[in-house]
Amino acid sequence: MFRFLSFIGLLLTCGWLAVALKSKSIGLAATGERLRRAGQNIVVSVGNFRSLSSVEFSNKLLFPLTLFFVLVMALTGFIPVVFFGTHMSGYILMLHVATSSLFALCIALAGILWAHKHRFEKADWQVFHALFSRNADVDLTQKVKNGFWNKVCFWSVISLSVLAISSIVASMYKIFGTHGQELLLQFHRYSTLLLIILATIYTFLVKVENNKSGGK
Amino acid sequence: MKNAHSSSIAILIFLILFSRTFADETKLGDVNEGSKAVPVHVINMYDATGAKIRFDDQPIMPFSTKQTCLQCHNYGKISAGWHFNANDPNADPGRPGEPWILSDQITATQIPVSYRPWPGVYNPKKLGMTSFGFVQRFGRQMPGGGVGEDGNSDPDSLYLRWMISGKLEINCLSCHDADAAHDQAEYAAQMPRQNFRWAPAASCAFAEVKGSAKDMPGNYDIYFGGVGDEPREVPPSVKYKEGTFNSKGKVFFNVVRQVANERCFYCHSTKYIGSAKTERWQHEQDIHLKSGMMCVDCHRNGLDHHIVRGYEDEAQDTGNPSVASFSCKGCHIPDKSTGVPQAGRMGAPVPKHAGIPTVHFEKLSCTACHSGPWPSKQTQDVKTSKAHALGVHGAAVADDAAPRIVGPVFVKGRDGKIAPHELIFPSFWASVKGDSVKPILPNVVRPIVIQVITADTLTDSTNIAKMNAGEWPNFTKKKISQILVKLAEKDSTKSFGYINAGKLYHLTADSQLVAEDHPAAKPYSWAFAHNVRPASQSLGVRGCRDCHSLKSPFQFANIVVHSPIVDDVPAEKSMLSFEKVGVVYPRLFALSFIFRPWLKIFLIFCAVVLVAVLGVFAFKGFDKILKSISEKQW
Repeated sequence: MFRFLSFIGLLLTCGWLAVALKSKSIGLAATGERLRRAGQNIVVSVGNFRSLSSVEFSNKLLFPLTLFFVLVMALTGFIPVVFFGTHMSGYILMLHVATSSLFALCIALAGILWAHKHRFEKADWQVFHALFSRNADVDLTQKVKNGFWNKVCFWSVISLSVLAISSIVASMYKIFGTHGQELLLQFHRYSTLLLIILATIYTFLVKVENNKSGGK
Repeated sequence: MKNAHSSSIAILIFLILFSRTFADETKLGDVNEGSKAVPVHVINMYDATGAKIRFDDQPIMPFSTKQTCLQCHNYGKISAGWHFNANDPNADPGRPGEPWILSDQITATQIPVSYRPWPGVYNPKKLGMTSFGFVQRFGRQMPGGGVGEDGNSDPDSLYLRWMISGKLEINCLSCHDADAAHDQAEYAAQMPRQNFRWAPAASCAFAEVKGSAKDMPGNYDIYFGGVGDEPREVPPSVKYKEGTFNSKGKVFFNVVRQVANERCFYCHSTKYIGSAKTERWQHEQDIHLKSGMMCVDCHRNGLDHHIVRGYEDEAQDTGNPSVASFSCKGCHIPDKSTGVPQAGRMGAPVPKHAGIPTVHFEKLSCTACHSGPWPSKQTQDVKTSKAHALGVHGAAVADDAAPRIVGPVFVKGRDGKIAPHELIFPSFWASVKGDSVKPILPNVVRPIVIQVITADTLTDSTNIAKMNAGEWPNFTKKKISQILVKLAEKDSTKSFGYINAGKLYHLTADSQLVAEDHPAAKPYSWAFAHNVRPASQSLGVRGCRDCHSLKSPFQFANIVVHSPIVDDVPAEKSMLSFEKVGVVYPRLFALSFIFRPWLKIFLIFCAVVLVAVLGVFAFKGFDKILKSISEKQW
């Protein structure tokens, strides 16, 4: 079941991303160029770590690193399940576990540094209200709408990260039996699946939509 | 002889025509009419010809289990059961099991043999062993039937020997006799004497067997005698004890359906050597047996005697789904797919397996953590009933008696799961043709070996002592070369070699002895499941590092490779090479567990930080909501 759902989920996410990027006239070459620049930024930023401001640290180092670790975790976690139908094991498992601490560090820092920026405000309430109101008379800009969805994605990613981390840590203690272990594994799997999908949407909104509309 | 052949063919045609009828026939004793009481077997005894045995018969014949039992039970159906069907080419071989070991101490030979086509064993027929020879050698721990009744495949020269010895019919009493005086060792003792037809009687409490069919000349007639003048020629005979027959000429057989554990133990005992626990009372017993269970509570069978072996994928092998519920998993783990709950039979507890990630159940068999002795840095030597004739009078009792089996070795089985195995490295003299190696039977090579290894009375005195003690003699590379040269002198059309300790030793064109890897030298291993340790003594009970540590014998123990070659001591093998998990990865993975406690603490810290962030902003948001509610104009 999870194999099927994760395959469909990841396929749809990739498909959506490709369509969305195409609609913004961002081709593969441009994406590659952005990734290359992000990589360079990481290297440069690590070298000048002490001189970075909090915003620069967030943008140039933390954001791409978090994304990179999410990507590594996703590849190591989902490839064995989706393509081979087996549990993670061997070097893939070791890589997954080794990356997990870095991912946890990055997501914790992101939580600390970006939470204030992602707090919900009055405008977000209006977007939320507009979702359920047929006669919403407020004139909401795309930027406000994107901002709302950014925040939703951010807080969801933070919440799902807590679930993903705590479920796998709990399984390492002699608390849960086989049934509990299976349940925890399912929690871990489904929470990470959602986390990846939402992280992809968040990244798109932050890096593509907001940039177009003069955001981050 | 010609007449005998004609009658054999006639009987064969008759049997083929009516075999289905006989096989399907339901006998009185095979019907479950509902009573749980065991019928008292006060019955007539019949000899191998089907004639009723009376107490005043002269000569009085040994009872035939076949003829006696088939009065009420379908012998044909029973004879297709697991214990009797090894030589049936149509029988499913199932998971590779413990083979017979053709062992010869003097030639340092140990060849795993079996009629079942398990990979790595040799078929006795292909080695040149006759059914007669096989039974004589291994019948000691066979319950009869199968090869014991297969005289037809033997050469004509053995026809008269079979006529005297009789067939080794299925000895129902080997398992079902509940009499405390049942003596299986006496049954075993009849095999080297070729007293096959007398063996069941010899084992039971109410009969005595004397003499030896082996000593009888070929023209000996069991009914009319024909003994020569040799004083040692004591003809085989049976004497029933006084009071055996009641006034109606019937005899009481104390047989039961629920076979006692002791009956199983005669052929299925294992002794692990090398642990500090040397006294019998210090050894543990299987937790199931100590809980009051019997072997047959799990290893069940119906009339067809297809006894449940109990391994996980046995249901697929046998095509009988009901056997699945008798494996460890079947009894202990509830299976929601079955309509009626099967697990928990006889109060089997459902294991909690707290803290054990479920991937372990994909990679390991239940027995990996729960069975056999707790693994140590080095494998231990193992003695088994079948290999070492345990319980047989006159068998070598020394702990280092050949054959040399080691265990527990954790081997990845055919189901892809790692399970504890016992393991033997084949060792034999062989004729070599290209890549093909054919073992030479020990009796052929023994005179040459003795001649070479005892040639120098001064230096070879150790060998003489070792041979007397039942141990392998010492070979040197020089002596191996000499033996190989002598074998080549005897038959110059072939080249020869010696398989030992995972290598093939052979002479090159310039008469240099070289050792190289060869498929025929690969070890043979078989999974075992007993003794099962209690949950509190299972691997992993102390934590992950029971296995995931560089000091863990589960992955990093050394496997002792026994060899008689004193100047080319074989390197110990690593457990990893049998688990097929690579060499570097398990070490790295084990090392990673040093950091695992820190990782857990760090992950918890990160999760706590995230929860704190979520909490702070959730409360802030909640505060805003409360504020807006309180300030709202109603």
